[in-house]
Amino acid sequence: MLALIVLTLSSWGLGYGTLRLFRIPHTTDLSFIGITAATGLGVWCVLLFFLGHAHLFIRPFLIVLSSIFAAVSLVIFILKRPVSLKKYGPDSGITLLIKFFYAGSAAILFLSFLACFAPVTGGISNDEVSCHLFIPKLWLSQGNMGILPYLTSYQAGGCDLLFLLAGCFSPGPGQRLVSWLALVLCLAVLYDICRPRLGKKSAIICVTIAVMNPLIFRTASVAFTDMTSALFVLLGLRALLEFEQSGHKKYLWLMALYAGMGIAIKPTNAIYSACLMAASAVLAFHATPFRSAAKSVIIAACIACCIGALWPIRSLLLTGSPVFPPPLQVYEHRDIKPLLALEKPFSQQDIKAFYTHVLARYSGYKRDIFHLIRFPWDFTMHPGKFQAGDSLGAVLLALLPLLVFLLPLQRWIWYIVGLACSASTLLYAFVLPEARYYIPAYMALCIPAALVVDKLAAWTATRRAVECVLCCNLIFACAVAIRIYDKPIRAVFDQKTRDQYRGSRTPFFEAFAYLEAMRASLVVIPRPNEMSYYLTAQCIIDQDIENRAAQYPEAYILDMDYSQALKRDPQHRAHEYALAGTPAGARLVFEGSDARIYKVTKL
Amino acid sequence: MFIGKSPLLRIAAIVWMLLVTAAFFALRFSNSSFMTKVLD
Repeated sequence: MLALIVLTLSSWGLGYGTLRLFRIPHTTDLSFIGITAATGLGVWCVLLFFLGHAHLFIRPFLIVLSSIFAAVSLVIFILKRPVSLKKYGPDSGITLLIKFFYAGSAAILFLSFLACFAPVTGGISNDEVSCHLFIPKLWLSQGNMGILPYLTSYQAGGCDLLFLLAGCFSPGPGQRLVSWLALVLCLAVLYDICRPRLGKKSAIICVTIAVMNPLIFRTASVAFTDMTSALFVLLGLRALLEFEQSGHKKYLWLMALYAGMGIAIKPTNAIYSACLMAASAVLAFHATPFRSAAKSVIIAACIACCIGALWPIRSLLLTGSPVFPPPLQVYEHRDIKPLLALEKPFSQQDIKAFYTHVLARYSGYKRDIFHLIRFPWDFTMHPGKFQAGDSLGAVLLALLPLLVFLLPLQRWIWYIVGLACSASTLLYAFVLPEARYYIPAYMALCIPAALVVDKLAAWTATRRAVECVLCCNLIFACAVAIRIYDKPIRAVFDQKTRDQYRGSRTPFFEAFAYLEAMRASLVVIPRPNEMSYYLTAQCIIDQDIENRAAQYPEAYILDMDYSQALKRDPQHRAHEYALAGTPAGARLVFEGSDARIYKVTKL
Repeated sequence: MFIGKSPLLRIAAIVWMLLVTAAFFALRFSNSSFMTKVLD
């Protein structure tokens, strides 16, 4: 909770300064506070990137730095009073349906908030553990963003640095709360876009449509980067629409800043950012003379590149490719650039195996023009094919095609639809049909969906049908929320359930518990394993530990059955231990179902 | 707006919305029980 408060306050302060720099007028809307804090999150990412390379990932330093930012921000907030609560009095004409929307959205948000406090579980197959929690933890423990012997460390982005910062205060819940905070800020941005254009009622409906998407609220309660990624797409969209409305170039440059921050947050955001930049270029050339427009677009591109190029340049220097994993064709005849800290470089075969692993998730799903056309239908009706896990609900598919009946549409709606469709098509064609990558597009499309609801309310029959669709989906979303959060929330409040929850889902759980009970200060593992995330003691990798155990007096040697690393799966236990027997100079002190622990005897 | 000009379009809109919603729930609730696989 402290992580959430400090991060929000410090981000607000950083965002306040940044928006002042761009001469953006501050409004007293509550949603604008969210936009300011969201901007600050992006500034944090850039700041942490440089701190990491300056070897300043020192926990006490980061805690003090963020606390100072938060304290200064609080003082500015109190002095400036950037929000007027007078205009947030109770609504007089509030209908029962709107009350239901308020209650349903609030319940889902509250449940997802509580679920953030559930214990972290799972094996390597859980990206949350193997990428977004493990890599920041290692960076924090080594004090910098140096090379790690894990492929996933090259896929990291700015959001992982936010997780690192939150992890300084509260590992586990802190990182998840970053994701949850990003959802709340996304809703604030959506509300801020909708309210002046469609009215308050439509803004609430837009927010509700976003919250009632099971994929969205589930992603918000785990430490994934997708909500933060969506936040910067929505911020960019908001700035673009402000530019479209006012014609002021400062909004164009602000949009470029968000586009750059988006790339720095998550590499796949490059596609959304490119679409935003293309839309802004079209708008600039349409609204202003050629010379002036060209100048503005070049400045905007420079701003976006300066911020967005940070991670690609890092990747280029480390691996020889600005994106990771690198396109296979590029490395057809040579290995990927050797990585200094490793005993051997990643080979082309390693990268190929990585691709195969990722593509295997879609179990032979074919991407062609026919499948692209029916993609929205497949995505809604068969979410399991696209790693969605949950459904998206039926609201978007039920409402969005009806935009055709509402023609002609205002230009700003076309920008939103165009951005979402073009970015989704590019992601589908060049990246992956991974459901989470499309979350920014779903969120942006909630705005035209709210417009459809608003327009169809003009006739009783269509209004009743729309209300029926929305209510059914909201009830469904609430049921999904109760089902998926039932166990995690119980694990938050009850110790016995928590132990069962962790034990049944976490590989090598008993071994980690043993090491914790023994207060082990040093654990040696014979090969790199992301499951070392769960170790509370200092961890060293030594591939020759069998012969060198004596070098680590009093240390514990943890040998994990690799067949269980993906996830705890007693049905498929293959006893893939790294060590053939007890290392010389050590004795077996623990033998669990999937792990063995040796202790180096005193010399 | 096209839809304002023709009651037929309004009927088409209602049919589409209800059809998609019905198809979605039919697929979600088929082949497994409500509280186990359907919602996951």
